[in-house]
Amino acid sequence: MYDSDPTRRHFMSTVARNLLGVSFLPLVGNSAMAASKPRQNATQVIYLYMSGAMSQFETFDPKPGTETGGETQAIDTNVAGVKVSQYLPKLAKLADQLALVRSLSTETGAHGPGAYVMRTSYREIASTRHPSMGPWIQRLAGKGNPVLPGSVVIGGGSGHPGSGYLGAQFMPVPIGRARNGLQNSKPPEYLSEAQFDHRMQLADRFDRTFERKFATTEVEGYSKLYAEAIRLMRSDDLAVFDINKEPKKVREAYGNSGFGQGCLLARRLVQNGVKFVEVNLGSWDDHRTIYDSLPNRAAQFDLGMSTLLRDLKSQGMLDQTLVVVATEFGRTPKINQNAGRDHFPGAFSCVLAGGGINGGTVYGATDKLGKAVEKDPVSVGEFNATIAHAMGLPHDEEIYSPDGRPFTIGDGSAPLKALFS
Amino acid sequence: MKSWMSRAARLAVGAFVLAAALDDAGHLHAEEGSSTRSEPSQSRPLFGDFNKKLAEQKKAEQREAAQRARDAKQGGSGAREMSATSSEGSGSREAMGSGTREPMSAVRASKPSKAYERPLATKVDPKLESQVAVAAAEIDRLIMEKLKAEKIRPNPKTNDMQFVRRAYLDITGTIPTARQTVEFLSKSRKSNKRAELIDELLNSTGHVSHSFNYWADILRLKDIPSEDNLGRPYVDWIKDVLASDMAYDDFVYAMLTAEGRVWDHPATGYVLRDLGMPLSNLDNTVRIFLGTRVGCAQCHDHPFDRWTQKEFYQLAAFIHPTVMQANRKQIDAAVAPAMKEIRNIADLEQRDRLRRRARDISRINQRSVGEAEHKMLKLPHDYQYDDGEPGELVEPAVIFGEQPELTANTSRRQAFARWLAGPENPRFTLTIANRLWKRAFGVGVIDPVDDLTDESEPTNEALMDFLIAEMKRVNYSQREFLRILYNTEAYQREAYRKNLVATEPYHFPGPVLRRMTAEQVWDSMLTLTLADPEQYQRPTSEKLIEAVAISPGDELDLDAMRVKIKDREDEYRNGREAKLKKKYTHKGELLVRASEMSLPLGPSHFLRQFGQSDRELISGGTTEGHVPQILTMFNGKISHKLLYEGTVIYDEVMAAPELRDKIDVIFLSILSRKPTRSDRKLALAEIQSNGPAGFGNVIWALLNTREFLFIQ
Repeated sequence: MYDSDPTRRHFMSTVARNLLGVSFLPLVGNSAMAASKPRQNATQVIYLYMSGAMSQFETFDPKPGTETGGETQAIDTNVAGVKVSQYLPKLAKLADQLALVRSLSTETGAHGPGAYVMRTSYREIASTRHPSMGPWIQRLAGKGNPVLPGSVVIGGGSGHPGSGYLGAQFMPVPIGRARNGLQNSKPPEYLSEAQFDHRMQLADRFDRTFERKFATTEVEGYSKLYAEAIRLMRSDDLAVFDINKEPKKVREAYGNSGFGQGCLLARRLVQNGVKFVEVNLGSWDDHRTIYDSLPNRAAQFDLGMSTLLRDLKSQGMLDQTLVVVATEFGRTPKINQNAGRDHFPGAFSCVLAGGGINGGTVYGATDKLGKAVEKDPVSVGEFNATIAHAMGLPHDEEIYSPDGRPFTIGDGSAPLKALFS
Repeated sequence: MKSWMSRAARLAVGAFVLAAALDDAGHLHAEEGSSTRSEPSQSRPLFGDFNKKLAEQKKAEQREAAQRARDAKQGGSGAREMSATSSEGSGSREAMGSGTREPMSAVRASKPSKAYERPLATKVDPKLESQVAVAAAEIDRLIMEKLKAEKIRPNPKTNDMQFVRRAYLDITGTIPTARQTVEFLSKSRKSNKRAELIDELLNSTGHVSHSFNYWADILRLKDIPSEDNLGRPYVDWIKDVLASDMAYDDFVYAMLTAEGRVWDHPATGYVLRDLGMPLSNLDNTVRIFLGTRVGCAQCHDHPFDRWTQKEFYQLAAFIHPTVMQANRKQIDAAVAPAMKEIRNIADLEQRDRLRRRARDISRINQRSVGEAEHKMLKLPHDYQYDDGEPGELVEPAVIFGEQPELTANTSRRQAFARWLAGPENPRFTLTIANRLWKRAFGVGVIDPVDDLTDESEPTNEALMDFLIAEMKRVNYSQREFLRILYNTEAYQREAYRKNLVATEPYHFPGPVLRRMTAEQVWDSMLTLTLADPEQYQRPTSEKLIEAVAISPGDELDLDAMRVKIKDREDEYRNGREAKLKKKYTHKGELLVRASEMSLPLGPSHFLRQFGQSDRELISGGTTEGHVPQILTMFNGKISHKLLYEGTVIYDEVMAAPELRDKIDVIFLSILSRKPTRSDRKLALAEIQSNGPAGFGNVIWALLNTREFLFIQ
């Protein structure tokens, strides 16, 4: 995992401590602590984010045969009495592992602010930027692997709140395309490691005057980034970013979509200690002709997530890995004049699976037409506190922002303990 | 690999490809004796050398258009004064904006017929020089007064090396070349050289490019907002607006009121960007142009501000009559024969594919913005407050400032735009003045710039008032306004050295230290690589429009529709832009300025890695650092390309006579300054002990300093 070659380590600590002004050794200690947590808790999260607002009517809360149900039919699952939409046939067969939360609601009906609330538990305000779930978890639990990033976002947009006020060292590492892995992680072939180190030392000496003159947090943050980048480049763990190392059969099982391949990369990353991996599936914003555009996307989702659950299970990792399906809000009960559904924060569905969650449950319910939450309403804060709870993390621990305001992972909400036995 | 030279030799094949590719276009090496990388151009170059005839023809048209625009503008200023005093002034303002508007009554009933014509690029006005100095001095007085009162020492004045780098980066979006730096440094100190440089840079193509990136981020510009919605004519128009320095109030007015198809009236692209989401569009409009967040009130009373849901709906009632498919019936009729034939195709897969593409084309043609006179907005079905009933009709009312008087004949969109973009609106001028101040100084006089409330207080009220007055005095010229800011002593001071504290007001002892934006990093790398990075200007979308356009009254059968579908796809695949892009692509990397790239870029592109927006959120770009960014600088293609023969920096280092000069060239190229004594010692030792490879090491090392990434 960590290279033990004495000269290299000597160089690394020299670079890190003397030249760049930080030491990475404490991080190793940190991870040892994280590894000693009780086993019944989830140790990592795969967070499947449905960007654009996934329709609950066409996925986990179908209302067939009603005026709001549209063209969507419901199908039986392997749990008696629980139905999902016809667009999710593969997940229907794994419903005994899913906890469907059908009673979420927010008050935010615009994508940017809605996604922000879902990922951070807080409303977007101009005076601070809240951390998203990955960095929160890294802050509370430490890194699972001292070399690999604490959290990774696959296929996300630039509007992602990222590490918010926690700063650059908690920033999730973005992966544009799962197939390409981590870009630029290897120096060109002509450059030996010694030559690279030599260049870094030069850079550091040239930069010294500037660094002294402008001792801002932002400038100092780059020191940590340089050290972290070098550690990552030298790590044997780098190979976990390469999904081509998986057998062809496995890659194909996840489906040939960016999302499917992202799920596979997520599995490889959590397998190697990355605490939190977000995989994005975009363009659920079906304002128009929903039945033309949704089925293909739902099929990618169905295949990717079902393969992920089966793969985690067969590798014995499902109990430690919490799989989450989240989206910014739902879509309107009414089908509009363009044969689409508009934004609807009033009632929508998210899903939890694995990670010690009771499978085969449905938590909360909407009314017959899906126009309102009828039973056990769930807030975004409660949902996110539940993720922390599944990992055995203190959902009420206050972390202060630089301007001195306390925030918690679930905005002070309590977790849904009913989902755990 | 032992030496830089032998590495270069090994890679010579690759280097020659670069040289050859660009020699085709004829401009790889800087011409001897030419002192600037690109002369400020008279007008935005159209398509390089490709079609001279077309270019000449265009120029003639542009001259005419410019004359018309000037005429309209003269009429416009008068109209602006009128509209401030007279509520009946609706007829006069139409002449502004696109400059091709027809009287309202005609526009509302039928499609405008005149096609869009591109305006001529303009320059700063040399006659205004003394006024600029007076205004800059007043700003300095107001800042010094505040600094004195707060007992803060202003930062020292920048030296010429610091200044030239910052001026190029802030005004043109890239570092200067070594030649440009040396040219500036060698001018006599007594001359007015800083003011002259500012003017030269404001007149350059680079300034348009840099300003475009700024507005593209705010306006979330996309080439294809959706498959059935063309964004390109609007994107091209934004460049024209900036090149011609269209008055900002006219620019905003045009976007809010334009009618017709996007290729005839490209400003319609603004509302079409949020197709199907008019309320979100309104939310964006109020945030971008009035710096105010009313979005929460779309669904409920605003929790942190005073806006009620009722007020949001009253405001929305102005824009509710906007229709976006004004051509629907005519186009449906025009494509009916083709659609009928498609329905009869037996092969399901073929039928679906054709139907989808034909539908995209017909929808693109249906898009035409207009105003439905009697369309009334109702309160939502779940309206929960006492001041209205669900489903109740809402009368338009503005949320602050003077209520426009409305008669049955008043265009509501125009009334809204006159209120929003008028000089009397208490937040309109303030917002743009504050935004541009932030562009120059890194922090607004009110910060953040787009979250104003009744409680918002400028850190320097007299300064804010003066900036608002100046914005009006320069008739909303963004360029003349920036010119004043760049000429202040406050701007020309060294950057602030400490952390900004969110809770403490910043009083501008100098600009703040900023990391380069993604576009500045990319364009600076390009400056080190290509002799003329601005040679490639993205072709406009005329051919694409020609391919897809259907006129009302046409009749398309299936064959005609197939031709349209094929032409559209051909244009994307092999059109002029696609061909040019191939020419400017080296080893899989398109080497053109950020402003000339596709919008948005894919998530793994260098620009996106460095924080360019995905164009989903307003001002979504970020300058925050993360590990993959560092890896890109360490190991990415772009950093290593610089070490090969054929790039500007390589060639200039090689051309410098002595070792001492070579080291100077490296520092001047990358950091726009001469090496310090210890820098020089270090570089010398490096090159002496490692031979030619030492040059590569020094260049690489300097690119990976924070001094390179930050603007001080």
